[in-house]
This record gives sequence, C-alpha cells and structure tokens, in this order.
Amino acid sequence: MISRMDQTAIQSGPPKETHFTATAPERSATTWSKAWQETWLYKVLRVLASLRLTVVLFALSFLLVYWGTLAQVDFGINTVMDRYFRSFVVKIPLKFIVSAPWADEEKWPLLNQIRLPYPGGWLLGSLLMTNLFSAHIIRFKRHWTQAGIWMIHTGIAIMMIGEFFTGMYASEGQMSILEGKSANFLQHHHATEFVFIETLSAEKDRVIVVPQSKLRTGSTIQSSELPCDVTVDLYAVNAKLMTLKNTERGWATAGMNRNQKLEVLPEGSGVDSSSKIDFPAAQIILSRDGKELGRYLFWSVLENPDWITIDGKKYQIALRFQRTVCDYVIHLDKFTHKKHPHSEKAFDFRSEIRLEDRKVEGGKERGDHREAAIYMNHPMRYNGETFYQSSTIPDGDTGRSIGTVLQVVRNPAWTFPYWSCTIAGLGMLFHFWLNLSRFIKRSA
Amino acid sequence: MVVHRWRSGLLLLCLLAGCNRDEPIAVYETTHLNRREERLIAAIFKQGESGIAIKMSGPNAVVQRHAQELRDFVESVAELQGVYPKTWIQEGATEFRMANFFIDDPDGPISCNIAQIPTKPGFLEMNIDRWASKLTLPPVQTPADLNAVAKRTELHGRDVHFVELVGYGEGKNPTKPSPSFPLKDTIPEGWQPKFNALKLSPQIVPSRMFSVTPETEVFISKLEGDGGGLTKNVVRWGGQIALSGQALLAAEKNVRTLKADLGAAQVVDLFNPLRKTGMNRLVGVLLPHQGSTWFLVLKGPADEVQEHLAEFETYVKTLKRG
Repeated sequence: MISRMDQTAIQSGPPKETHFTATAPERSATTWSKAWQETWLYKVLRVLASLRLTVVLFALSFLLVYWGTLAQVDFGINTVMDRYFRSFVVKIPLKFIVSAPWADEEKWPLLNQIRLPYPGGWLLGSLLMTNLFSAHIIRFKRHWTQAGIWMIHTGIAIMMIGEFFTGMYASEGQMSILEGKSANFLQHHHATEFVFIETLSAEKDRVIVVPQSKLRTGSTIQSSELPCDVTVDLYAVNAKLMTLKNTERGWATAGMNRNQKLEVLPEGSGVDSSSKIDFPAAQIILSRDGKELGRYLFWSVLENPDWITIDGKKYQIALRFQRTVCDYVIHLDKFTHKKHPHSEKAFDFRSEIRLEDRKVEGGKERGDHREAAIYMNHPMRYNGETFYQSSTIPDGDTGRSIGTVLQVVRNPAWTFPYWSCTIAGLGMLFHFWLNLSRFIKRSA
Repeated sequence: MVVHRWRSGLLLLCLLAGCNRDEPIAVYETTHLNRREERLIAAIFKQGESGIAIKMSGPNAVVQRHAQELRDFVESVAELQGVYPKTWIQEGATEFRMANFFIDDPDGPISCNIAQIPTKPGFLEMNIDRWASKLTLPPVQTPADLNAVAKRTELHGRDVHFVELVGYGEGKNPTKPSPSFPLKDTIPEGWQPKFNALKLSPQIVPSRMFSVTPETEVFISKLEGDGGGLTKNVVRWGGQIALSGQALLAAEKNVRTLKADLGAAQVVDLFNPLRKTGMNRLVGVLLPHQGSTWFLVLKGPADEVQEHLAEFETYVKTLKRG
C-alpha cells in the first residue's frame, strides 16, 4: 500500500512536476502548463501546498489545544477562547511548555512570567486553509472520482470559516425589561467597559466608552474623545470589594468606594454547573494635564456610578458590563411567571412583547413593528438575532416577578456547522461508496 | 530560494501577528426610554434608636401636587402614629417597609412609603446619596450640597430633615393594590385613616385604624376562629384602660348583642371611673363571620366615646361582605 502513495490524492513532500498527478505528464506537455509552472504564483502555492507544512500545522494545532486546555486552570473559557483560539498570536507561559511535575510555579515564578509567542488559533486556521486551498489548486485531481475528497474538504473549510465569523461577529447579550416598560440595549456579561456619561436631557445621555481591550493593568488611555486621561493601575477579571478595617488605608482617594479595598478572585471557569459570572473590578487613576483628579475603585456589580466634574461638566463614571445599543425597542406588555403547584419551580415564563425597529434608513425609520410571545423553547427571531426567554426580574420588596430577562443571540454563521457536516458527511459517503465499489469490482 | 521562502513566511506571520483587534474609544448618544423628570420628597427623623424615612416619589408634577399631603402626614406622625388623607390607600407592610401608600392621580399614581433606617453616623447623607443615584444626581459631597437639598425643622420636639430632590429617574408606577380590607364599609364623616407602625404589623392584617378625634380612635382587626373568645378579649381590652378584676366580670355579664348585616355581634362596654382624663372608656365588638372573628374597638375619653358611639355602632351594623 505504501508503495502506491504516489497514486493517492495526498502526496508527501514537494510535488514533483513529472508525476504529482496521474494527468500531470499530459498537462506538462502543454505550453500553458509549462508557463504556469514558471510563474511566481505557482512557486508560492507549491510551498504553501506542502504536506510537510500540513503536518507541522497540525502538530502546532494539537499543542495549541493542549496548552489552551491547561490554561483553563487559570482562566475562564471565554478568556482562553479569546487568547488562544480567537487570536493570531498567543503568549504561552513557560510552565505549560515545560509541563513537568517538578515545574512548580511557586518555586520557579519565572515559569509563569516568561511567555513565548506562539501562533494562535486564527493564524493556524488561516494557514491550514491556505495549505488546503493551495493543495487543491496545484495538486489534487479534478476528476469526478475525487468529488468525495473535495466535498469533505469543502465541509471542513466551511466549518473553519464559520468559526472565524462566529469569533468575529457572534454576540450574546441580555435584555432586561420591566413590565410596561421598554428597553433598547443589551448587556454582555463576558466583557466590561469604562464609561463617562454626560446627561444631556431626561431622554438623552452622551456616552464615552473605553472598551475592555484597552483596560489593561499599567496602561494609560489618552484620547481627545476622553474628558481626562485614564490610567489603569489594576484590572481584575474577577474581584470583590471589601470594607477597610479601621487601621487599614485604602488605595482609592475619591469616589464612593474610597473606604473599600479590592480583593482579586480567581477567574470562573465559565463551564461549571453554577454558571457563575465573573465580576471585574479596576483601580483607575483619572488625571488631566498631568494633575491627578482622583484614584477610583470600580466594581462592575455596583449599580450606582461615581461622579466627577471636569471643565464644569458633570460626568457619571463607571466600570460596567459592556452594552450594545440596539436599533430596535422592545416593550414588555405582559410577563407571566407560572410555577408548578406547591413548588417554586417555574412552569412557564412568558413575555408578551412589542418590537419597534427604529433604524433610520435613507432618512426614514425602518418602522418594522411586530408583536410576539417569547416563552420557553419558543424564541423570537428578528433581523439575524434570536430572542430566548431567559429569566425574570424579582421585585426587591415582594419577590414577585416584575419583568423579564431575554437572552439575545446573534450569530451570522449559525448555519455553517450544519452545512459543513452535511457536505462533509455526503462527501464521506460518496468516497466510501466509490472505494467499496472499486473493491467489489476488483474482488469479482 | 529556500531562504527566500522562509523570509516570505516570516513576513506573513509578522503581518498576521499585527492583526489582533484593537477597538476604538466610542462616543454615542443614547436614548433613555423610561427616564422622566422625577421629584422625591422625604422626611428623615430619629425614632428611639433607629431612624424613620417617609418618602414620596414619582413624576415631578404629580409629586408637587401631593407634596402638601406628605408634609401634613409627616406633621401628624408622633410615636409612629399619624393620620393620612382618605385618598391614600394603605398597603400591607413588607420586610423593609413599615407601610406603603398608593396615591392615585389623574396623571398617574405615585407611592409613599415609611421605612425604618439605621442611624449610624452620616445616615442622612447616605440616604440622600442613595435617593440621588436613582434620580441621576451626584452624591452630597459638601455641607453646602447637603443644605441645598435638606432643610431641618423641629416637629414634636425632634429634628426632622425634609429632603427634596429633582432629577431624571426610571421609577416604576405603582400598581393599585387589591383591597387589603375584605369588607365593604361606609366611613363616617370625620374619621381619618390612621397609620400606626406598631399596630399595623403584617401579623394582624387586615386591620384598619381611624382617628375619630385627636384622642379617640377606632381599631379594626380580624383573627381566625373565635380569636381567643369573649373572656380573654375582655381582659385584654380592660388592660388598655387599666381595668381589672370585678369590673371586668361585671362588664362581661353586661355584654349586649348588636344585630349587624354580617351577623350577631357581642358588644362590651368598659369604663374606668378612676381615670379622670384621657382614654378611660373602650367599646369592643366581637363579630363572628365565616369562621373568623372581627374585632372592632372604639376607645378614648368617655364623653367623646359616648358622642361617637352611635356612628360607631352604625358602622358596625352596616359592614358588608366585600
């Protein structure tokens, strides 16, 4: 069987022009083929199509998955997904690379401090895709007998493209609406933002948002958009605030949390049964023209913002879960929360809503209106987003449900896995059928 | 050639490495769909070891219309008792609130509530800050800020701070409570609903109190079964006007029956001649109805009780199923 490798679709080593496919000699005889093989594009593709490169990329991918799994000891699944798999370059701590019983990071702190750059998921994925496409261009036979292979590879490509789009464009948020009230924003519990809010009127606020990607410990954010400079003294993905004891001196010098201190907590795994979310906190120094305006302690849990006055303007300042303002408004007409008899277990959550699309297109509001009931296993789909009934808002005094929480999911690539599996599955069936029929013919 | 290939590969890697996403600082205007101009008026004072906060909040114009009612109510509150307008509907107490009132208005209902608050140092500022945050207002930072929103006055020999805040809030409109008093009644002219935090506890709800005169009041409550029976209740009522022993036995013997729409009621008339002034007479009624017993009490100075006894009995006789 090994001696027949030259007759299979996948070849080891750089393809030799004389016999890289069964039809190559015929094609190389043509002038066009010769000219094509002399081009720089062909030469580049030949390098990219290398089976050695495939093997190396797969090996690198296996290691990335292994280290990504180890990283979940220290970080939650969302952080690991972003850092290891939805990035082009990842910095791997030496302790994972050594991965030996003696490599105790408490004894050898350098093992955690030294981080080596390594290709991230998107880089490996794009290289694998390039490798696959290049191989198809210059090496694979274009014959109906290879249709199964083509379909399998197409399925894999769709899966990888789908993951890329999911990573780039998928979002998941929650919309909380009180009965009889409306909502027009989503809150995302996997990301935070630091905001300056200027109240313009009863209805309008001007919001200046510093995204989480800029909130790194030690970073200073300066921008003409910001009313002052923001220096992140410490950013903790999960933390809690503790009241200072009488003898203790706090870090903060301003704001409502100046009598508190921050205690950093380990990041939640994000996959445990309790589904607890992390509550980020930050120690932030605000300054203007080199003059410190105050050291503030922020915690994403706190509902009430701090306040600061800069150039006579009053701003609310807060570290809060990331928000996305929607083009539509959802009004909750009625919320029903039925329980099983003699039990607190939910029997039915039902949100009767009205959706008004207020997106302005060509100077006109889109004006799409719809009424719907959203309940368990009966989501509403609108404009690429799916609205699921998630939970309820209890009244602080009576405990009665006074509102709904909808889970809103947008994933433009949600159908990709279905297409991928279908196409790859059909390809496999075709390929096995073809080989089986050949085998039967040979045996006959 | 090989070196060139690897150089190209490295260049590609470096280019891709620079492709990590960098989100910009975003600036946008957002619309608050539920926010409106709101007013909050409140009175904070110390009551024994703890503090009391009486607060009314809602749309600015509506609260302004009812502001005087709140001030009158606060002025009437002494020893956790006070009279409130008949237009207010009292709801049951909750874990955090001693009383909630629903106030209807053509422009939307508002609420008023009474809560017990801890009186640790700075409790006034802490509560103002808490309320201010709900109205998108900055916290109190200086004594001048405090003076701008809180005015101190003296009422019934104690310091009362009246707080007034106007800002943008998302307070929810209160829903009209289902009637906690399950009977239909006709309240005589001059009887004013009365709040008494000590007596209107959730354990004895449904209950109602009325101020008939400054010294005379009517108290109504319901207990399951016979509520302890006649003798026990006569002893309990006797204790309220310092009456005991033979006088109570005599009173129990003189119990009379009153024919009411809900059924036959037992009426006990207690008088303590040794008390020359103040509350010295109590007329108690036991009205059994549908497996429970209603207790209705008129008490106060003997002459005032006598003056209002007829209207009290009419009230009892005309009580109907809700």
